[in-house]
Amino acid sequence: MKKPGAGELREQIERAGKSLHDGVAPLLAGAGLKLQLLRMDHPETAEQVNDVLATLDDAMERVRRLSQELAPSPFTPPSK
Amino acid sequence: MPIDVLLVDDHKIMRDGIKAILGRAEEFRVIGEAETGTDAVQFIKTRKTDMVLMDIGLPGLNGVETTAEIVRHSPDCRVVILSMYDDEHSVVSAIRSGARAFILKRASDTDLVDALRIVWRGGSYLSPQVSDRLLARIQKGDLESKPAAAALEGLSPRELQVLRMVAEGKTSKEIAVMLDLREQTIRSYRKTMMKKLGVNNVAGLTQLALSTGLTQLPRAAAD
Repeated sequence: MKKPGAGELREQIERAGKSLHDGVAPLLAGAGLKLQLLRMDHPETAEQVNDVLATLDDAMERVRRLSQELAPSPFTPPSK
Repeated sequence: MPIDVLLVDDHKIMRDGIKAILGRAEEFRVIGEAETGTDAVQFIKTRKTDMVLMDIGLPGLNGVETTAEIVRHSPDCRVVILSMYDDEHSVVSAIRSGARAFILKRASDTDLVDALRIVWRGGSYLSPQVSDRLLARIQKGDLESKPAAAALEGLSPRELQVLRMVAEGKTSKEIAVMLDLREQTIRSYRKTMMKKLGVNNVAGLTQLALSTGLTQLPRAAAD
């Protein structure tokens, strides 16, 4: 199999970063919102829900860091 | 009277979640949802909206550009940005476009409802993670404005928006469609910008947009 060139490799890396940012992170955030609703409706579950939310938040933070590392935000000026 | 809110996010799961959370707070009423910036601007033009919750990373017209459009059409409408990005470029772009708040999307306890209440009372809001980082940068002196950016200070938000699109290679016709303006209006913006910036052609505009960091070359093209 032909090895990708530097430009192509960079594109693939950026695509992976964008995919994490646009595809995975919103799902985690959406799941978090749903858990918060569950906690509002069933306060007795708060302790367990908080545990899951903390794990989810950790996962989200890792996804955020990794995605920004692979594909900077569109508002980032070019590096000199 | 309820505060009428428009939700703008291309992810349904986010819109549904936010809608449900706002539904628990008595004072807010979600009156519309939009998946794109263009749809959001159209909505604002047809229905009075008190607040907009705007995803920053919309496809096409992004959240910052959409905010600038909304604020231009409805200066009283308060826009709150929701973002996965937490870098200062995103924050500064959002605030410059007219947003009143910048909230980081998180899984755990969201500060959403508190932020909306603060903004509705006339205040501004940044998520703690964002404000802490900005303060640290300011303390280190990392956030001083760059001299090159001064060249763009005489441009209106609308002109900056058009300049960025021109520099990205979009034609006047394409920009006109995206911003819902006449092609002739875009041509007029181009001429005014060239005069203000002292350049004679699109290449000059592009060069300025790049050197000030307003836009950047696609990575592959930059190689």
